[in-house]
Amino acid sequence: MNLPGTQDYLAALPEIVVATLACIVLLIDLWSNDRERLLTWLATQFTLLVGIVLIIVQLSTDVTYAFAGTYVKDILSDVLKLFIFIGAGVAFLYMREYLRIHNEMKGEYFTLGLFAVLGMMVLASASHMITLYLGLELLSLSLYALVAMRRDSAQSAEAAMKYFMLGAIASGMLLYGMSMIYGATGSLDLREVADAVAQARSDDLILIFGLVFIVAGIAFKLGAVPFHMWAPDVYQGAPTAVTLFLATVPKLAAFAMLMRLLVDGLGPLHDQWQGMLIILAVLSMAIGNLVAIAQENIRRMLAYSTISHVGFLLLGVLSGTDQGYAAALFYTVVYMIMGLGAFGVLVMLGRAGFEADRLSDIKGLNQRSPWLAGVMLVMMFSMAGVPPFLGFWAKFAVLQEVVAVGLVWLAVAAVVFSIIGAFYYLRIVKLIYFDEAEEQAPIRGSSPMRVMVSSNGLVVLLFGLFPAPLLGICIAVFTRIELVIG
Amino acid sequence: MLLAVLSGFILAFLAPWLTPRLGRAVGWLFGLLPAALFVWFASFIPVVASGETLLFSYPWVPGLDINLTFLLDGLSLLFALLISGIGTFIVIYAGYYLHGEAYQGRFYLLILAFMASMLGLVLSSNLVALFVFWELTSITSYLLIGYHHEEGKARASALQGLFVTVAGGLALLAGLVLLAVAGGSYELSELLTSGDVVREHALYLPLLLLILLGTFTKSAQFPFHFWLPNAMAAPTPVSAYLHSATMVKAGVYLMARLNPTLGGTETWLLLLGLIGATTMLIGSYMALRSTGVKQVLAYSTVMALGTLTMLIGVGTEKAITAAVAFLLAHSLYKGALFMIAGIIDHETGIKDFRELGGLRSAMPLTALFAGIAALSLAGIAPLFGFVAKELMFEAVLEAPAIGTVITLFAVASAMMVVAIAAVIGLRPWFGPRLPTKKTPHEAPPSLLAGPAVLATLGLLFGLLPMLPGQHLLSAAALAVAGEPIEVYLSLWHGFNLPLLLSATSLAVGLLLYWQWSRVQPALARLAAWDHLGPERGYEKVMASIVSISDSHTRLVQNGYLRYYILTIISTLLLLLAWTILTRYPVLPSPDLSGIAPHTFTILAITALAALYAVTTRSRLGAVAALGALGFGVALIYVLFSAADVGITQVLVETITVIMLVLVLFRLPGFLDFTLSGSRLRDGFIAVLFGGTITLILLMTTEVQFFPPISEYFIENSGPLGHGRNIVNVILVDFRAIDTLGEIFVLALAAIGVYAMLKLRAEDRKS
Amino acid sequence: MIVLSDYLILAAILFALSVAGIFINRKNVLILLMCIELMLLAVNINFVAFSHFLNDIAGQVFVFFILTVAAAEAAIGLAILVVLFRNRRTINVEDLGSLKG
Repeated sequence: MNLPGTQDYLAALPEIVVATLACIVLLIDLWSNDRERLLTWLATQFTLLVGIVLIIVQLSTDVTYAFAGTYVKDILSDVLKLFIFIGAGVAFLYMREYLRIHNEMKGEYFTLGLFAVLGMMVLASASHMITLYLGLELLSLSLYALVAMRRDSAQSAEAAMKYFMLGAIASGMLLYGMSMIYGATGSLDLREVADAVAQARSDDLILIFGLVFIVAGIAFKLGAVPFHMWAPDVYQGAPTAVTLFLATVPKLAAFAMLMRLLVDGLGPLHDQWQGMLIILAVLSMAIGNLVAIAQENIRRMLAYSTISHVGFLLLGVLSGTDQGYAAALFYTVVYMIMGLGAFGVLVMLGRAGFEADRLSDIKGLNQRSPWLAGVMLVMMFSMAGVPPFLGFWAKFAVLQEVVAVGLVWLAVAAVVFSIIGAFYYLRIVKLIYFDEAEEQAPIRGSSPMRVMVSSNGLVVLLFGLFPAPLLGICIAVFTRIELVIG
Repeated sequence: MLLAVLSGFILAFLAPWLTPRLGRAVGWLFGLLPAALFVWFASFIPVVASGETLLFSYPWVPGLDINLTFLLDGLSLLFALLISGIGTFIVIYAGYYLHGEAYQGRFYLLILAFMASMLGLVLSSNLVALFVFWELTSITSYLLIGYHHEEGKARASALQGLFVTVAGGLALLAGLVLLAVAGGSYELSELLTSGDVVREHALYLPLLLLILLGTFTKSAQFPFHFWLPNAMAAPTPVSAYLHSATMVKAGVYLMARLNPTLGGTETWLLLLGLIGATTMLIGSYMALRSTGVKQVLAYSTVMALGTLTMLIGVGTEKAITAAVAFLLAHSLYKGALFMIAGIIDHETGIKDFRELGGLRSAMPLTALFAGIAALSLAGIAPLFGFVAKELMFEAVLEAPAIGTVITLFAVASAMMVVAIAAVIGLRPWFGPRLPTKKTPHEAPPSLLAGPAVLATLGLLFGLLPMLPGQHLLSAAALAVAGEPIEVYLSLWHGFNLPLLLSATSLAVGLLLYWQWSRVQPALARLAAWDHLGPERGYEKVMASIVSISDSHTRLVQNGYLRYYILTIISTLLLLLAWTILTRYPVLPSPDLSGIAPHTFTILAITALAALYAVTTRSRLGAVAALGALGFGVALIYVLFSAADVGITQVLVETITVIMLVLVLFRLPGFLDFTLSGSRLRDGFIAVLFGGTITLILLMTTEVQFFPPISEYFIENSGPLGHGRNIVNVILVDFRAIDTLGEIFVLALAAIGVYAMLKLRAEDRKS
Repeated sequence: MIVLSDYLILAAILFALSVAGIFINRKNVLILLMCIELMLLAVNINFVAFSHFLNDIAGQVFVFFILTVAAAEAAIGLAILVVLFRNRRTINVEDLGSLKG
């Protein structure tokens, strides 16, 4: 046992710096009298920027374990953190626009957001169950508070309560599962767990039960059916700015949790958890796509859409190959980009005291703003998995991996559910382009917002035409990581 | 080659900017691009006709092993020529037809992008690239149909058409992925030679069905034919281009393209042959029944698509020759007829055959070309349509297995087609002049150019059938068959059975036309039976999906937290029970003899306290019980000589109780709304869950644990940390950073509490 | 002598009780909060028991973390509860049903 040294602190430098800066942002906000909270926001974005720089400077394929093996810095964690920073930066930009439109500017949105980012970073780098749990809770607690931020809204409070309750139960299950894994393997260090599991009998009862609880806990955090019920209520109840954050970036963290716990820790039990993930994935794709059709509220619809996307993400993971994990990572990143874009458009449609989230609110959007309509069109086609948009490649990559491991029926089922899903995405396109606008209010929006939403749409289109770079990163992460894990 | 495909996209994105700047000449100028492409592709004819296949490869997505590969052989060349050739006339036509419309620039953007995607589709050798272009045509066509979105009809049909083709497209994607698995490559150039492997593969049937689902929806085959006539709400240039010559033929193209890989089996023959024949019959029947100009044309397109599918399915040498000839003939006359329909609409403002008549004198040239094209449609000598029809009859007569059935279908269809052709070619032009909304004039050159050239070509090819046959069609037939076949086209085959069939169908068809004003309404009355048709089927499926969706939502997503929790717990229970039952059918019998009385007492008290906390109706009672529970747990810690943890537990417990009591004072009393039935259900699930968990734990007694891993702390806390209390040493020394983190968390919580209290004080003040 | 399984069984019973409490309870969100605490305590017992029998201190350290995090969680939960009560004038579980569909 060694005491932490420079090596350890260097490896965790991004987290340490972000934590420190987050506290400083908290203080800045406390003493700032600016009603627009510009300084807080700038400091928040600065923090993310510093994070990005630190990650890029230290970017390498080496694997460093720090703090007695509780923390790992590898290429997966680096890449995940990079995407988290980028996603959060965009989300905060949209958030600021939303808060300004609705006159609800509060610095806490950004500071809580930063702490959530910190939680996600810890999750991405966890190689020990304690680290993982702490990261998860830091993320979750920040999100609970964010959902409840609108203190005068009964809806938000109800959403926060549901989110909190179900989230806490899920944490409880996860912990219970961890305790069993601990009992069965004698360690909380995921590497040692993996070694012990590899030697243990494959039908070790405690292990299997621990696994069931852990899968249930993860499924909740991901929002997979049947642990999904919080998602629609929370998406609808929370302020749109919060929804757009919690619907997108934390999915990367959930992916990290999947990889760390199931692959790094319980990888030898792949045969056991593959079956469970298949059930979750099929249910998620089925329920998510089917139920989305009945929704009148766009945010609820997007919630179900997220659920179905989670199903796809699970498909990639359950294939159990490096290519499969890469496809799942790619899917997660793509989903984040599309989700940010779709919610970004919703933010722009709203105005003070009015959330544009009913289907009728987007009718005839093409007449009001052809440009915004175009962005939404791109997002919807992309989510439906229609080429040449980015979403197609994500679906394609995942399907290919599922077929490659011989689960042909699963791929066919996924396609069938996608077909059902295409219906409600296309309905949105139809509403935008073919229906008469009920709402005639002009669409405003600050120029940074316009630029960001446009580039968001452009990214989906351009990466759709040339997916090689983004996909290349995701594949590189796993082809190199294998050298170390294997 | 890359430039040839992409140039359309490049011009497309410039189009909105260029259109207002080019004024009236826009159609002619934009027409230069497809014309240039046509000439460029035409220059390949000699090379391709000699049987060569050209491949062009560009890297695209190396991560997935996908390259942008283009394959130029007879089939793709034929399609490329049709696309660019007809495209030229459409672009010129639209320049006049849509002049002055507000969104003409956007129209050009879409139609040029569509043309480029279509070229990409027929030239792609990579399945994934092909699929990308395939869906691009769907999207652009969707936006083109919606071009006149003021019309209510456009609105209703847009979603239907798009959904059917996109859904089919996704099925196609699955099919193509499976095909790549079965054939071991995404490259068509490789798959074309590995047909035997694919046909023997276990996945052959599913992949065939999925691919056909895609092609059938795209090419409007029965039972998906209903979307095509509904899509006629589009502006006429769009219908003329997409729904006659190009997009709907994409499905036909793919089937023809994959014939060497997938074709030749019984399933292929039956599926394509019978469905194609059915589509052909239904198409001509529906065409005869309709009166709308574009409706009639649309259904006759359905007929043609059915014919092509059927011929590809039959797959004999004759059938393939017939298919490529029919493809060319149909593109020529149908493109012309659609453009003429647009001219009629444009000049008279009328869209129904019943209200048209005697226009011959007002627009003689249009009438002439309409007549020629209609003759070709009817399959009358000496037009190219006749050549194609004779070949078709020959092919179906000698088709294996299903020959009799499809011959009957073909003859019946041909009779109706003659009548339709007569309706199109005679009715608007002859007879008494009927009143029109606008005074009709002869169409200007830009509108007439397309019909003139296409109709004339139909006549020319009919007179000299080996002109296209020798080079282009023989190369195309070679590509479809996958092996050299002899293509011989001629106008006169001598007196034989096909000619007899032609003559019969001509006679009956003319009879039908003579009685059209009676036959048509009689058939239209049959529309009452349409509720058995596939369009209503589509609507019913959609409606039922929506209602499933609704009912699920009401059932599960009812907004009540407890049901959410109930679902989660039940699922977990199910997973656990399943694991137990499948793995450990023998239940354990625990040994309770070793428990010391005092421990047992503590355990019992703790459990009782928990039970009381859950069931009590008094708040304070619940808090007290919870406190007791907490202290019980603390005692257990102490029993295990984890005194430090025990102390912490006591502290946390005390704080929690105090906090709870503080909050409790502000809350109203308990109310009880629950029905005893639901209580019973919940209790049942709870007991079940508890029982399962207990069972699991009982089983764990039999499990061997790993030996202790580390005694490090015990050994080293003295020498290294200079402390006797191991836990303390760990906290402040070995894991000091962790402790710092804890303090950090606590401090944060304290700040939060302080903020809340302060907020409250401020609230009270204000 | 108390063996490992006794503690595991106690923890399991507590866990099951807490779960039962969570959804038998209809009346009060506060009781849900308490049940969640109970759930975490059950986990803690597991960890301590395993830790003792495995002779590995990490489990007990985890317990400390869980306890602290649980405190933070309770703080947030209560805060949300207060917000809810202010808006709704009720903390009845039955009344939490406005978001659905």
